[in-house]
This record gives sequence, C-alpha cells and structure tokens, in this order.
Amino acid sequence: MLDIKTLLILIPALPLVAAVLTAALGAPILRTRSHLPVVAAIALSSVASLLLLARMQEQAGQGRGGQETVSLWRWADVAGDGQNAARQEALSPGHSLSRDFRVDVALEADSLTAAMLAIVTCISTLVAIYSIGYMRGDLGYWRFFSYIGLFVFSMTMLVSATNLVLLYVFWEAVGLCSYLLIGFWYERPAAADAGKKAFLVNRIGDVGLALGIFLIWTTYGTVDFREVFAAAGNSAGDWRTTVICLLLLAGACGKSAQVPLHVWLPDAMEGPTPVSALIHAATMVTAGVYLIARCMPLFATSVTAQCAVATVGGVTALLGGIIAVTQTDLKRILAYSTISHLGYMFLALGTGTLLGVTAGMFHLLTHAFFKALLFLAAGSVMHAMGGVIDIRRLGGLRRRMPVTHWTFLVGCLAIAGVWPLSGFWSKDAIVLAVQQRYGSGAASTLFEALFVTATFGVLLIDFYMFRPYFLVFWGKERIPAVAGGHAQESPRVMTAPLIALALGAAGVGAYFAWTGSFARFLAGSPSLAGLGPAMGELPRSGHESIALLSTAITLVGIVLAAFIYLGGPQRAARLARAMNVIGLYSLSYGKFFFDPLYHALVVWPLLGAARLAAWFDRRVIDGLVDLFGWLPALVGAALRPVQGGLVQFYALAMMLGLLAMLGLLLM
Amino acid sequence: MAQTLLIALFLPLAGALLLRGNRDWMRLGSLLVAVVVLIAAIVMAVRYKECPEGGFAYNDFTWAGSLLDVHFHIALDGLSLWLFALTALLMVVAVLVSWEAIAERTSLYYRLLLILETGMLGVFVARDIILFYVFFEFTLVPLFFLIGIWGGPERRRAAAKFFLFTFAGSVLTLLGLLSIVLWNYYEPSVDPALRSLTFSIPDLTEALRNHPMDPTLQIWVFLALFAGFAIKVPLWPLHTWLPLAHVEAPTAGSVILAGVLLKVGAYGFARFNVAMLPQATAALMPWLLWLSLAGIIYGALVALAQTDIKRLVAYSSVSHLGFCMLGLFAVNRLSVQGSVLQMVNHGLSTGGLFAVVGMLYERFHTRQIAELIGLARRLPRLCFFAMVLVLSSIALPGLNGFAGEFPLLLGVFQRAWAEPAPANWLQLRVIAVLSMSGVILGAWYMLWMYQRVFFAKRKGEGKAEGERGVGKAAGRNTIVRDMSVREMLCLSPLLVMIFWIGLQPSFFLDRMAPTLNDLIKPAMEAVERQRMNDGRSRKSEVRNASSGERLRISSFERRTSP
Repeated sequence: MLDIKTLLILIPALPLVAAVLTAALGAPILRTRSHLPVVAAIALSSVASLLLLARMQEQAGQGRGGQETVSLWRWADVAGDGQNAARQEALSPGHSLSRDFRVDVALEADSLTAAMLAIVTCISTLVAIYSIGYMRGDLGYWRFFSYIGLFVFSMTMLVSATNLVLLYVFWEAVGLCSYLLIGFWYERPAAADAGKKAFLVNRIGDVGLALGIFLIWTTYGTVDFREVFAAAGNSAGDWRTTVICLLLLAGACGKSAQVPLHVWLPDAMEGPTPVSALIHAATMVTAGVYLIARCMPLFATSVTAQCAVATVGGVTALLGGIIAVTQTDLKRILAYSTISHLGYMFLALGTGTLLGVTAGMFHLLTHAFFKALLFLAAGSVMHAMGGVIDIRRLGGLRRRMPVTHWTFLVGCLAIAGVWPLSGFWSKDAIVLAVQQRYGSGAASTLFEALFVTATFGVLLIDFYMFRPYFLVFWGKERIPAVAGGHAQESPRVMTAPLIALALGAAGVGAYFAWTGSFARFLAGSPSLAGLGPAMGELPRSGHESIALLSTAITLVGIVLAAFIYLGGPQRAARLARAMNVIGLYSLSYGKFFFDPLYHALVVWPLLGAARLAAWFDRRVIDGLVDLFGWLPALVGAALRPVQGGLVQFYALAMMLGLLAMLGLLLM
Repeated sequence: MAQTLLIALFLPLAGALLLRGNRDWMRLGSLLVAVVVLIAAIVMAVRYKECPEGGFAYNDFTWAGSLLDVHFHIALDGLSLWLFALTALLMVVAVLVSWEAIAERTSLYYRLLLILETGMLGVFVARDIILFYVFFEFTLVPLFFLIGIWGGPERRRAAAKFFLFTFAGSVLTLLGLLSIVLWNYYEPSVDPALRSLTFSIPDLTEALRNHPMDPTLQIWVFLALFAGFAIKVPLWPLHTWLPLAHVEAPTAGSVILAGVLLKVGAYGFARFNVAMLPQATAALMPWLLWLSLAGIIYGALVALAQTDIKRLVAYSSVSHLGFCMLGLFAVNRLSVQGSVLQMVNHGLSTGGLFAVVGMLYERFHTRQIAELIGLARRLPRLCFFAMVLVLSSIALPGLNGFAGEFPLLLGVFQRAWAEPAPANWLQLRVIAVLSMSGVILGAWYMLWMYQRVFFAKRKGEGKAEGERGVGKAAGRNTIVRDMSVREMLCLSPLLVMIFWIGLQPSFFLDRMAPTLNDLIKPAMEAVERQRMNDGRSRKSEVRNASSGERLRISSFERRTSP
C-alpha cells in the first residue's frame, strides 16, 4: 500500500503539515511540547525515506526502470506559438519562440533522489531530537520547530523536483528557511545581519541559477530535467551548454558556499547550533552538490565546465582548510571545515566521471554524519559552557563531558580519515577519482595540480580538527565563569543523537565502501548514465598506494597537532610567527579578507550609488519637473505688464497690429 | 453576467450618491458596497471561462447619432479581468484601513472613495475610447481631493503636483486616441458610404489589424499615448510625482494609488500602444526596454537610500512597475502574461505594504525607519503579515511575486536570445541580464527595511542573550496593541491571494492567456518580421554556421512564413 509514489508525497508532506500545525498551535496550546509534531513528522519521514530506498533497490534488483514520477498539479502552462512542434523541438535544440512553458508540481524518485532524501531526513531527525534539549526554555521554542519543519520540507522537495523551476522554488525556499533560522535570535544585531547576508549572498548565486534556467529554456525550450538531458545529449560541444553549466555552477557556489560566495556560511554560526548542524550537514549546503550531480548530463558534455567545477572545488578546499587552521571560534572552525569539505565534493564532481560523482555523493553522505556529529558536540560544549565557544577559553573538558568528548573524538577521527572510519573511505574515493581523471582525459595538467591540492588538503584537515580537539578537551581544565554551576554533561536527549551519529560516522563509510552498494545504487540513476565505469569496476591497482599515502599524511597531521597544542602555547605562537614570514598567518586569520574586500568593492559602491541616485532624483529630475511647473507662471509673469488696463495702450497696440498686417498684405 | 458587470460598475457610484449618515453608517455602507462588488468580481472571475468569447460584455446604449458612434460599451476580457478583481479587492482593503484613521468629514471621504472605485473599474471595462477617457480622467478628481484633504502636511503640493503632472500627460493621450479614431475614419480602403466615426476599441483594434497605420504616424501616435500612460505607470524619468503623492496620501489613497492607478497606465499601454500600434512598438522596443530597465535599477537604488518607510515602498513601486513594463514591451507570450500577472501581484504586495505602513503610523506616528525599531516582539502578528508581504514583494518562489516575475523574465530572455538574432541582439541581451540585478537589489532594500523595523533591538530592551533574557523589558510604547481583528481581516484576503497565485498561477494565467495572445499578435508579428529581415541580411553568417544551425533556421522560416 505504501508504494513509491505515496512515499514520495509523504516524505515532504509530513514535515510541512507539522510545521503549519506548530505555527498555528505552538504559541497558544503546544508551548513546551511544540517539538512533538515536528520531531514525529521528520522521524516518520525518515522512515519513509528508508522505505523508499528499499523499494527503489528492490525495483533496481528486478531490473525495472529507475524513475517514478508523481504529478500533483499544473503550476503554469503558457502556450508557445507552434504548440504541436513543441515536443519534437525539445529533442533538437534551436530557436525558442515556439515552445510551451509548462511547469508541473511533480515529484520524481530515482536513486540519486532517494539517497539524498534518506540522508536529509535521517540527519534532520537526529538534529531535531537534539534540539529538544538544546532549545529548551527558549521563548521561540515553537517558532524554532516550525522553521525546522519548513526547512526539511523545502529540502526534500528540492531533491525530488522534476523540473528546474520547481527546483528553483525550493532552492530559494531553503534560502528563506536559513534566513529565518540564522536570524532566529533576531534581536541580536549580528544574528539578524548574518541572516540577511546569507539571504543576499545566496540570492546572488540564485540569480546565476535563474539565468542558467533562462538559458536552458531559450536553448532547449523545456525546463523538465529529463527533456533537458535528452536534448543536451544531442547538442554536445555547444558553447551554450558550457555557459549554462557555468551559470548553474554560480548557483551551486552560492548555496554550497564555494569561493567566492562562501562568505555567508561562517556568519551563519549566529544561529542556534542545531541549525548550523542542519545547514552544514544535511540541508542547504548539499543542495549545490545535488544540483551539479543532477545536471551531470549537461556537465558531461563540457570539459570547460568540468574544469571550472573542479577548480572551484580545489581552491575552496584549500582556502577553507587554510582559514580553519587559525580560527579561534570552534563553530567557525567547523564552518570553514564544511566549506573545505564541500570543496572536495565539488572537486569530485568536477571530474565528470561516474567514479567522481559517486565519490562526491559518498563524501556527502559520510560528511553529513561526521559534520552533524561535530556540530552537535560543539553545541553540547557550548550548552554546558554558557554559550562560550572560543577555544582559547576552554580546556580539559574530557573528564567533565565524557560522552561529548568521545563522540567529538570519533567525529575528528572520521573527518580526518583515519582507517576504518567513514571519512577515510570517501576521501580516498575522491582522491582516487581525481587521480584516475588526470590519468585519462582532457585537462590532465589541471587535474594533476588538483590532485596535489587535494592530498595537501588532507594534512590541513587533520591539523585544523585536532587543534581544537586538543585545546578543548585536553590540557588544563579551563571553564569560563559564565558557565556557572552547569558545566557538566548535557542531558540525555542531546547525547543520544550524538552517540547515534558517532556510530554512523564510524560505520557507514566502511559498510558502503566494502559492499560497494552505495555506488552501485547511485549508478542506477538515469542522470548518471553513461559517465564511465563505476567504482567497483576499476582495477584496484593504485588504490592501495593512495590509501597508504593519505593514511601517512593523516598521521603526520595528527601528530603535528598533538605536538604543538599539547605542548603549551609558545609552540603555537612560534608556528604562527614562522608562517607569518610569508603573511600566511595573517591571511588565514583574516579569512583572506573576503569580507572587507566585498564591502569595499560591492556594498559601499552600491550604497554610494543609491545615495547619488536619491540626490539626483530629488535635485535634478524633480527639479526639472518643478521647473516645468513654473514655466506657465513665468510666461504669465512676463506677459503680465501687457495687460496694464490702460485703454490708450490697447488702442495703440491695435493700431500697430493693423498697420503691421496691412504692411504684410501690401508686400 | 453582463448585468452583474453593470451592477458591479455602478453600485459604488450609487452608494456614493445614496449613502448618508454618521461615520459608522458611512463606513459600514461603504464596506458593504465594496464587498458586494468584490463578490461580483469573484463570481465573474470564476465563471469567466464559461463565456464563449472569453469575456462578458454589455453594449446596448448609444450616446450619439450616426456620425459620432459613441457607445456605452463595457466588457471584461482576459486583460481587464484580474485588474478589475484587484480593484474590487483593494477597495475592501482601502475601506478597512480607513476605518479608524479617518475621523474628519467621513461622509465626503467615503463618497469620494466610492466614486473613485467606479472610475477605476470603468477604466478597465470600457470598450469605447470616449468612455475610456472619461473614466480615465474621472479617477483623477476623487484622488486629488483624497490627497488634498486627508493627506499629510504637504498634501496640497502633493495633490497639485499629482493632478497637474498626470493631467498634462493625459491631454496628449487624448490627442493620440483621437488621431487613431480619425485615421480609421479616413482610411481610404473603406467605402465612404459605410463610414462611421467609430470609437469602439475592439472595432478599432480589428480595423487597425487589417489596415495598419503608416509606420511613421504610428510612432507619433505612440509617443502621444506614451505621454499620459508613462506618467501614470510611472516610467523613469517621469516618476517624481509618485513618491510625493504616496507619502502625503492617506493610507487608503496610497493603497489605491499603488495598487490600481499605476496599473491604469500599464493597462493603457497594453490596450492601445501594443495592440493598435504594432510597428511602432516593434521599432521603439529597445528604447522602451531601456527606460523600463532604468526604472528597475534606479527605483531600487533610490529605495535603498530612503529613510522613510513609505517613500521606500513608493520607490520600490517604480522598480516593480519597471519589471511590468519590461515584460510588456518585450512582446512575447510569456513576458506579457507574466507582466499582467505581475501588475496584479504588485497591487497585492505593495497595496498590502502601504496598509502595513499605515498601521505602523497609526501606532507610532512616525514613518522613519530609524524610529521604528524592533517591533517583532511587540507586534508579532503584524510582523508575520509584513513578512509575507515583503517576501511576496521580493518575489520569493511559492508566493505570487515569483509567479509573475519568472515567466516575465523568461519571456524577456526568450526575446533576447531568439534565433536568428535580431540586429539589436546585444542590446536586448544586456538589458535582459541587467534586469536581474533588480532582483538582488529588491531583496536588499526590502530585507534591510524589514530587519530594521522588526528585528533590530530597541535600546534598553532585553539583554544581549536574545530571546532567553527578555522578560521585564519596558519601553515607552510597550502598551502598543498588536493587530486588531479588523486589521487582520483587512490583510488576510491579500495573503490568501498571495499564496494562491504563488501556488497555482495557472488558474490566473489560463484566464488571461487567450485575450493577451490575441492582443499582442500583431506586435509580435511586427517584431518577428523585423527580426527575420535582420536575419536575412546576415545570411553570409548563416552560411558559415554548422549544418544543424542552417537546418533549424530553414525550418523556422517554413513555420513562420504564411
């Protein structure tokens, strides 16, 4: 009775209903029980996603088609000129004045969607449960859960949309939810600003995506994924496809916080910590990765676009890692770490091979677990320490908060990629995919450079993750005064999700890498057909050497961090001084000065232009208008003396006029 | 159904003449009238598709004899339908926002409001040029008095400027309209014996389709019509009456002005310029698009620099109407349908925002953003309503603004990226891409305003901890009450429409599509002809193109050639 179509509707519908219910009843009735509907709905929705996953696997096993679509209603249908020609035209891209603009509100499940749904809802469930404890006592308790429901709804709709317009709808809806959640404590100026910044930076990316959709429409005459991909297959090598891909990439950069649009993500820390976990691990930032994975048939036709994606990913991975090394706010370290890991995912997608895409998605999966874990553990620290998150003010917490400590350690090991935790497998897969790419295919020099970058990035990851770990949990016990009496382990409702996530972060990677089922399952998506051999089908030569290399680097990184940060502050200071010889420390600490740069180059000039325009409007344009208004009065004033009322003057004028007329007639 | 239309049109006028009594009776009576008209409009909108010709018409009253064929002809078609309904809806809002705010000379006030309603409804349904012009001018007078009597401190200057500015333009418009009539009368192809001086808009549209005007003359007539309509819209740089009038007008006046009267100009462009003067529309297209673009960006930039919330919303109107005109002048199906839908959307969101500004003003007696700070906690309901309106205004997907803006921009892009490219392709593409900046700037100023007014924290209220610490906060104005039932009733219909249009625009687009497609057909063909000529003159380039490209172009020519 619960077939794929029903499940597909239920998954987004449950959180939506719960969100509306909470919004309506939260303040007057539910109050401190406001979490009930939303947590229950998201949990049910995650069960439904897992069921969906199972059904999809079943179907794939029976060799039936990998897609199921369910249409809800027609959003818009604007007839083009040649209505009958529309379908044929879709297959042969050309000029565009003859197509129907038809958009259905329809959902579609293939293996890519099913995987995303499962990741999103499962992580969200754990985060929502954790929030029960974290947000307890907040005045906006019901508001928070209502937003969370809306967020999960938007994200699940985003990954199951069948066409680009619907995707865009939820693309922006996710942005709105992040705006609401980041600015949740709206009375803090920093939070409200961060929310607005997130929305605006995202909107810049969104404009890129919108332009991409417009260009897709004018090129292919359709916005339906399937039709676009079918048409794209026929138009390989067209410059338009490359431009479309670059525009989609711009959109993905905004949502997935890639350089140069990454600036909103670190500020997003102003929101409640569970929100950070949700944004970083499951929803929001993965949307960009999903978009590119979904549009792989387009990217596959353009090497330029692939190189752009990979370069953006590589640069972001490196930059995020370098910045994370020197930050002092634990959540910001994690934020830059997210940026850098998303960079890895983009790098993998940029290879344009099935190997790369599955590696990227695999990393998305494992990252969701360990990043959610790390954020929630950080939140647990913050909760106990009275809101303090500066790693310089904390220390030696491992005895007071054993569960948080152990789960955080698991998260660190997983993110660092220590065998056999999940990060090891997915990062390995990415590095392998990049290596394979430069071995065969175009732009091999670029990918060789990116391979080196990715390998070096691994060192940074270990270092920047173990630095806060050692500082916060080891050394002398330092507890800020604001923590007061409640510097102790968090309640069970918060630690239980931590443990669940820790188990996931430890296990999923090994399970899927050994069985290979994740990659096999994903490869069944029609979006990823024809991209080359899958992970399991490759010769395993070279794999071991990469695994050994990255393990060696990992160990070096951890030992280095331990050496520097367990040994006392002077070692760290010495390192900072050494690094600053080439200015690297300042650059990293200043986050490469993106924010002041944008302020100087974009924000202030625009505000200046706005002032100028306002002045121009008031003085020049309105001045001219008033001048016109005065014109009749001026003319009147000039002519007024003529009407003097002197009869003799009128008689004289009359005579002169008659004479002049006569003169004219005679001549 | 035609009787319903007739009743809906004249009921407000009858109400204005018959209603009497004290303030309570006047406002109750006006509300009743407005609601009845709204119900009539809803009935007509729902049953619109049943009508075989796609419109309700009433046409059996002639004013003059055989020479001057002036008819009382009113009809609803796809272009007027939603603007008519919008007017009816916003009038209910206007009466409700005036409920408490207007205390002096209420009898006169509500009568003027009702007269204004008949005038506005009449503009959208008139199918005779004289009738149209009468209604067109008719709207000016009541609004002039509404601003001049119940307005802010500078109301006299604002009213005078508003009246003179728009009146000056509309004189030229009359000239243009009459020259269309006369040109048709002296058309040589018509048998002199059968000649009649027709003023019927459908007849003229049809006639001009069969024997279009001389292209040069078209441009002059276009410019004459332009003078009046562009001021009404307002197109940049003829907009400066708008902020002044908005700021000084009473709340209901602003709601009506932004919601309906600006659309009268856009409606006139669609009904006359685009439908009757296709060659001129095609020839002037780049200029018109540049003007629209200037309005979009300029309006948004000036809005960004405003400190008065009402001025900010007023300038946002300039920007939004720029989008509407961009879509209309790009003449293709998507953009024009998006444009008309966007006119309705703008009426809903901006009308609602002006109502919110009015509600804030009633409570705090200021419109300065800097003085209205951190209201979210004290006015949570108003905060919610304002948020939906703001999000609608910045075209958040799922709400109505997106449903209009997306097809609109898609159509503009389609026009700019048409193949074979017209000679001015670069211009068109630059315009299309630059117009997207309005989307970003729009989000910026609106969110900036919203954040300041609702989110920021008042000094001395709460602690740095945010919500956790607030409790015994006390400010000077803490007793301010949240929205009353009446105020929620006032904004709720707008919210319903905002969500409905956003979730299912097809319901609205389907009803306007046949009329609009027919209306813009000549202009579209004119643009296409121009484009194909450009394409042919660049044949050499085509020859160099790949074989696939050539195939497509030839198939296109096959399809478009008669």
